[in-house]
Amino acid sequence: MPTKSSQPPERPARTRLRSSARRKELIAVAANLFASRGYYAVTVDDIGEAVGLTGPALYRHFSSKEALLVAVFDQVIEQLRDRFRELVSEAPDPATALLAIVRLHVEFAIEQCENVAVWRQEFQNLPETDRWRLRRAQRLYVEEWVHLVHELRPEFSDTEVRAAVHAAIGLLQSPSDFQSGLPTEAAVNLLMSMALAALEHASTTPLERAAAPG
Amino acid sequence: MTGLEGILQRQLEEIGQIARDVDDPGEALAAILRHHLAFTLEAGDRLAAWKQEFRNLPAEDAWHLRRMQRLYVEEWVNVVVRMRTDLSDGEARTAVHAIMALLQSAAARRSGLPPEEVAEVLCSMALAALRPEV
Repeated sequence: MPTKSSQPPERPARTRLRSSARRKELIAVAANLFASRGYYAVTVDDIGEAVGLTGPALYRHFSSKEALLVAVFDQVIEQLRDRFRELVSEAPDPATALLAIVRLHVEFAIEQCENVAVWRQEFQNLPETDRWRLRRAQRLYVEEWVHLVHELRPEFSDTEVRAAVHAAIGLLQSPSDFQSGLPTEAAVNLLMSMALAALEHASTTPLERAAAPG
Repeated sequence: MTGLEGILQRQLEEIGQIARDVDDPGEALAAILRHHLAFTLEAGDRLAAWKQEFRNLPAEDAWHLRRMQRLYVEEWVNVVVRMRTDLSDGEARTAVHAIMALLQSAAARRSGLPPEEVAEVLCSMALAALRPEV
């Protein structure tokens, strides 16, 4: 790394470390509070209180509640992508991998339903650079799906697989829009079987032509 | 009456008509699906604007529209429970919401596939997702 003589004085390494640990802690706490109570109901003071910081002290790490929300989004989607890659690499074959990621996504949607709903509501209002970065992460996540599903449905074109994947993700994410009141496990099982059947039988042939008697 | 209300009202009437006229639940479901898809295709980018409009409505109007939305969902639920006797009412309602989210995915994200082909893919997926397990 090139050294510049006119570098601004750096903070001692230990302070930086502590500060980054604090940031992580704040993001984790905010993610939990947003997910359990909802973004709009949680105040910056609530988050500060949970980690023993006053409002002004918290603002040294994050300039606003919105900045914290963006950090939570970044983290949530990164964790989802990491877990996706883990599951796929652990799976012995693509069909088993699909089963695992279908479960991953529906459990994610149920656990993070508050944050997914806030994403939908607030995304357009976020600063442009944040939107681009989050969109990129989202795109890459969807492409991981496309890559896997294409292996299982090689007769499909890339765009057909992508349309089917968007639809399957939409289905799996429905709990963020509608709280059914079903026990979690029942909802997970139902949505998983629906998504798997949908992906297995996705077809580009019009039904009128594909319909067979019986 | 807002523009949105008129649209929902028409959708509700047309889907109610299908539910009353088509006796076989499988056929009724396919017809309802096609109808819903044709509507979303025709609406195209206006769907997003309506969603936004819905969010910004005064509470009373939103309440009114939500009632219509409920009735709309319930027409589907009624067809699905006839077809899927293995599902409880709550499961059928969850399934219908899931199918609506599936059908709306094309409006939210662009796959690059022509709209008519997207409609075929979505229709086949929705029917497969709701088909009774054998």
